[in-house]
Amino acid sequence: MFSWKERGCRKYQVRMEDRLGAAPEVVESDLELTAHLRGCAQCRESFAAAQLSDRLFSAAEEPEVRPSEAFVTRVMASIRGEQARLSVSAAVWRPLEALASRFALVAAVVLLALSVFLVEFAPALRQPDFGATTEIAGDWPEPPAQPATQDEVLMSLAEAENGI
Amino acid sequence: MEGKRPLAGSGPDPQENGADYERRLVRQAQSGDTAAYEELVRIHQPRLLAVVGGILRRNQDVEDIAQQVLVKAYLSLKRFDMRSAFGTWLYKIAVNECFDYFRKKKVRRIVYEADLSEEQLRQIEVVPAHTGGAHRSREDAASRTQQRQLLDRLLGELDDTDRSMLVMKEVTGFTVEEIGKVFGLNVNTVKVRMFRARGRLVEVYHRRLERRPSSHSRNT
Repeated sequence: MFSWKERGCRKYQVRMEDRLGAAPEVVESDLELTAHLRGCAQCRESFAAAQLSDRLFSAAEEPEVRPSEAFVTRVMASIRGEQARLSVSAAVWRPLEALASRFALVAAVVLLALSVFLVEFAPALRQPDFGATTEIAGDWPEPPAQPATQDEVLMSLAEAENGI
Repeated sequence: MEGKRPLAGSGPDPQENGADYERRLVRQAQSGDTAAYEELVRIHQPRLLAVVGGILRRNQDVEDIAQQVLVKAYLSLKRFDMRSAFGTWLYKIAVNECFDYFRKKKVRRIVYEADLSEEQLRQIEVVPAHTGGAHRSREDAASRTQQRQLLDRLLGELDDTDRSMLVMKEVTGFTVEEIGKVFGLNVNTVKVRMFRARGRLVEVYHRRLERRPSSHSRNT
């Protein structure tokens, strides 16, 4: 079975592809390739196959594609149609884009105002209430007044002894 | 250049070569000049249809696909940076569009799976070497049509890239360098791939031949 995968030598495959469709004497003028083909059965076989495919393409000569003005007209009409479709689609999105940009602007202004408010007023709201300390202190009994004179000292000692 | 029609007020300069003229048209088209693009369509139309027709193998959708390619190219023309020729860029889009077509439709196997008739197989063998189309008579027209049908079926057995490369080289007359640019491959890789694809083409032929008892004795 003729199996093609990875057969032949890559280096010579390039040269054989170059020589396809050439007259035999042209192929023979490439002495290195000719010597290789003589010694390598796989390449010889693959070259013969490639030549057969080349002949097949020659035989199945494609009809020439003639320029058609109708085709050009159709293409240009299609382009104009596509452009119109795109501009309609852009027209649909444009008000939404405008709305979105306005919304973004309003959101930015609100955020700015909120941050100004927080900077200006929120610290005051969250500040610790130092007045509360005074009130707490007011709940405790006043410490006894320190005796100012010696008599007062003696009096206070006597009171302490008497359990007053 | 074939089919060239001067644009209103900006026809090709006498000193301007084809490539310069094309670049000028592309620049004009990029800035929204549809007449310039129309001219580009006119220039590339025959080759584009041949490429798409060659890859899709005379499928009825050839013109539709070619049209899609040209519309797509126009819509993305602003992104074309002119680092390659416009044609190379266009044919790259065309090849991709054809591959997409096959992927979407999954038609290839269905269309080409039919066996070749023994008569068609025999015809491959009798094709003489170095037959030039120019010297063939009108009587050969029917035979050529049959050969084309046969080739279509054999090509249908190859993978999309191999088939496209062979068609571009053999049917549309692209150079190996041009094919390399379209597929993003170097020249030697293209040559090796094409050479091996030819082998696979003939392998299909041999496989078909082996299935037929009466054809066993024939050889390439």
